[in-house]
Amino acid sequence: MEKWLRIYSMKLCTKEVTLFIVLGIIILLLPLLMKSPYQMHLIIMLCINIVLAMSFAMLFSTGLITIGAAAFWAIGAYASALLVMNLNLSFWLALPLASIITGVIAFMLGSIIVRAPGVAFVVQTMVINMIIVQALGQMEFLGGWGGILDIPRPNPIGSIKFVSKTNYYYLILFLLLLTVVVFYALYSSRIGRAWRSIRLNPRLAQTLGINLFRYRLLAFIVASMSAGLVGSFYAHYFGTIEPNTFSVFKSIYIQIYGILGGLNFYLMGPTIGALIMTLVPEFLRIGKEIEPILTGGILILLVIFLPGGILSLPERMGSLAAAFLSRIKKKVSLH
Amino acid sequence: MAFLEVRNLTKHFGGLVAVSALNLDIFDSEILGIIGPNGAGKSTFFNIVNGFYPPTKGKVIFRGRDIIGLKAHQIAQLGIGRSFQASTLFMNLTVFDNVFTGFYMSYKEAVWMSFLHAPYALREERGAKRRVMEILEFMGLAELKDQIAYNLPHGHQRILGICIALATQPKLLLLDEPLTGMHLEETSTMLNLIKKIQNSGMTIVLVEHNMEAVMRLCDRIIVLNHGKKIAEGLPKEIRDNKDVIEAYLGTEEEFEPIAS
Amino acid sequence: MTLDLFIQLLVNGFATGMVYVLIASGLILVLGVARIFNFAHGEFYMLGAYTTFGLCQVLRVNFFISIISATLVVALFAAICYRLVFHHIRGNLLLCAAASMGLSMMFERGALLGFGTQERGLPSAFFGVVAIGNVTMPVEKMAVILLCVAIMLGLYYLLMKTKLGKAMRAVKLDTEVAALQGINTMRVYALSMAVGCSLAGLAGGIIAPLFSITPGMGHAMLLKCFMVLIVGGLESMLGGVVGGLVIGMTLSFGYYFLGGLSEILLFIIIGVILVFKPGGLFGEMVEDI
Repeated sequence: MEKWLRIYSMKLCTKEVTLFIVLGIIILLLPLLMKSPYQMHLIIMLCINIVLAMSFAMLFSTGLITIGAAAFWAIGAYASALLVMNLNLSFWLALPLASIITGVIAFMLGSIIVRAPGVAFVVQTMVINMIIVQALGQMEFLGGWGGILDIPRPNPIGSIKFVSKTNYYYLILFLLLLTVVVFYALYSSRIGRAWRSIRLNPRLAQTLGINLFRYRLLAFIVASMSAGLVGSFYAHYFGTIEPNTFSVFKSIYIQIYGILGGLNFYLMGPTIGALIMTLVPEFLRIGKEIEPILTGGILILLVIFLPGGILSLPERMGSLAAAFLSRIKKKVSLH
Repeated sequence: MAFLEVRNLTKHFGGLVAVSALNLDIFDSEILGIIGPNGAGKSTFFNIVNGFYPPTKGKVIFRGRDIIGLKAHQIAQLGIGRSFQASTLFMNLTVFDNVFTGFYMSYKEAVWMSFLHAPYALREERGAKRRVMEILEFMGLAELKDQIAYNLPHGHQRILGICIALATQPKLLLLDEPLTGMHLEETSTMLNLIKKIQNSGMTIVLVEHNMEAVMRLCDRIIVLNHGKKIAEGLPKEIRDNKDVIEAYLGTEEEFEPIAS
Repeated sequence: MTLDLFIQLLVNGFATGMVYVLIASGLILVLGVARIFNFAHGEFYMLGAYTTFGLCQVLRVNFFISIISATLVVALFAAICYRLVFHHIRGNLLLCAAASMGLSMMFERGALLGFGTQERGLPSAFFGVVAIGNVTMPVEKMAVILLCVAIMLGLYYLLMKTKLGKAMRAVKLDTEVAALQGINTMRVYALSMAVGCSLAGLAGGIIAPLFSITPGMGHAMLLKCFMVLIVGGLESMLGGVVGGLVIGMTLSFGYYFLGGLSEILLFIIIGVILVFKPGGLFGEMVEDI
C-alpha cells in the first residue's frame, strides 16, 4: 500500500530517477509556465490544501477521523498574525512559533478528546472547530467576523522580497517538502508502524505493548502543527483572515481531499485528492455558474466508482484486466 | 513464589458475575489448561490478566508484581503475551509484516536514524527481520510469509496469531481457544507447536474447549464453572472428578477425538 | 424575570426547539437505519421550504396542501438520491459523508440558480394572537409547536406500531438478521431516507412563513442539527428530542440575556456535556469505528 514510500529505500532504477528529476524540474520552474497571478494563486492554494489533506491523513493512519482540521489551520493563521502585528516579531520567527503554539493547543485539546476514539472523537473535533470559529468571530479584538486585515508580508531575506507570487510559491513549496520529509520519516519508522497497527487492530496493538493514547495524541499533535504551519503562511500570503474561511465545511473538504486520493496512501493520496478538488473546479469554470454542480457531481461519481480513491485505480484496473485475461485464456484453452 | 498468582479475583458485569473469588497459581515453564462450560468465565479471566478491563476485586501478581490497574500495553511490556479467540490479526498486512509488527517493543531505533538509514538502524532492522523468519520457521509458516493475512485458511490464521504473540518475547503466553474451528490435522499440528513452544522455555496458559486435547497437552488443569474454580489437578485426576463431569452434563460439550 | 417573560421565552424556545427536533430526528433516523451520514440533510430542509414557497406563493395553492405536497416531493427526491447515490456506498460513513457533500454542493447551487439570491418569504397562514394568562403569543408560534409535536407523535406511531417502523427498528439493530427475517432491507433503507429527509422538508415548510428562505439556509441549519446530535447522542430519537429542546431553550433564553453571545453559551454547554458524556446524553460510546 505505501509502495510509493518504499521508492526511497529501493535502489532506484534509471527510469524512475529520470521521472523524479523531470517532475522536480517542472515543479521548480512552474512559475515560468504560469500565465497569470491567478494561476499562481491556485498552485499556492493547492500546496496549502495538500498539507492540510496530509494532516487529515496522518490522523487517519491511526484510525482517527477528524472534521476539525481547519480549526488548527485557523489557530496557526491567527497566532502568526497576532505575533507579527501585535508583538512586532519577524514573520520568520512567527512561522515556527505559530506552529508550536498550534501544537501546544493540540496537546491540550487532544489529551481530552483522544481518549474516546470512534464516533465520539469525530463529533468532538467538529465541535472544537465550531467553537473556535465562533470564538474567533465573537472576539472583537481579533477582528470579529470581519477578521484581521492588512497582515504584513513576510520580511524580506536579503534581496528576496515577497511581492510577487513567485517567491510565495517557493516558500510554500519549501514548507510542503518539509512536511513531506517529516511525515515520511515518521511513517517509515517504528512510530508509523505503531500507527498502522493501531488503525488495523487496536486490541492487538495493545498486546504488542503499544500505548494507544500516546501514539494517537502524537499523530494529533504533529498533524495539527503542520496545519498551523501553513496557517501562518496563509495569513501572511493572503493578507486577510476571517473566521468563516476555517469553518467545519472547510474541514469536510479537507476530509474529501484525503478520501478522493485514496486513504491507504498517506502522502500521495492527499496530494491527488487536493489536486482534484482544487483544480477541477477551475477547469469547470467554463460553465461558471454551474461549476459547483459539476464538481459535486464528479465528486459523487468518484466516490461511488472509486471508493478506494484515485490511487486504487491501478489495482482496480489490474483486477479487471486479470478477469478479462482469464476469460480469454479459457476460450483459447478450449481448442 | 509462583510465576503468576491470582488471588480472590472477582469480576461483575452489572448483575452478572463472570468470575468469582478465583485463586490459582501458575508455575514456571508449565502448560496450565483452563477448561469449563461456556460462560464459565475463562475469557474474562484472560481479559483481566491482559489488562483489558479491571477486576471488581482481587489481585493478580506476576513475578512478584501486582499488575492490577496497569493498562494493557504496560502488561504486554512486562512480558505477558496473548493470542485471541477470533482471528485477531492485521488482516491487510502480509504474514511477515504481521509478525514484524510484533517486534515493536524490541525496537530501539530513533525516527531520524531510520530515515537516514544509519547503519545502526539498518542493522536493527535486519536483526528483527531475521527473528521474524525464525519464528515463522519455528511455527511452520515460513513459506507463506508474503501472503496477505486475510487470504490464509483459518488454521493458519490462528497459528499466525500465536506467532505475533511470540514476537513480543513474552515470559507468559496466554492462548485463548487456539483450537477452535480446527479440524483433526490442524489440531494435531497446533498441539505439537504448543508443546514446542513450551520446550523452548515458555510458560503457557491455555483456555480450551477441546477436552481430549487439553488432557493430552497440559501439565495441570483448572476447571471453572460459573466463574468459580471447581477442580484443579493433573489431567487424570480431572478426568475422573465427579464435580467436573457433573458440570459438563447437560451442556453440548463434546469430547472431540484427536488424531494420535 | 417576570412570569410573563419566562413563559414567552419558554414558548419561543419550545417552538425553535421543536423545529430542530424535527430535523434532527430525520438525520438520526437515516443514520441509525441506513447508516448514512447525510451532510445534505440541510438541503432537503431548504428544498422543503422552497417547494412550499413555490406552491403556495407562485401557484397559489393552499398553505397546508403546499406543505404536504412539498413533503411528498422531498420524500420522493430523497428516495431517488438514495437509489442513485447512497445505495452503492451505504454503510461506509466516510464515503457517504463525501458523497453527501457533493449533493449538498449541487443542491445549493441548484437552488441559487433556480430561485436567485434574494430572500423569499411567505405570509403567515395563522393570524392573530392568543392569550395564555397575561401573555400574548402569536398563534403562529403555537401552531408551529402543535404541528411539530403532532408530527413527532406520528413518527413515534410509525416507528412503534406500523410494520414499516418495526422493520426499520429491526434493520437498525442488526441488518443481517433483519434480512434473514425476510425484510427487504433495500426498501427499508430507501424508505427511511425518504421519511428522514421528508421530516426536514416538512420542517422547512413549517418555518417558511416565519423565516426568510435563502439557498444557504440549509448550511446554517445543518450546524444546529449537528449540535442537537452532539447533545442528544447519535443513536436515539429521545436524544434528538432532548437535544433539540435543550438547544432551542438555550438559544431562546440565551439570546435574551446575552444577545449574540448566546452561541458561546451553547458551545459551553455542549463542551461540558462532551467532557462528561462524549457520546451525547443518550449515546453509547462506540469503542472504535
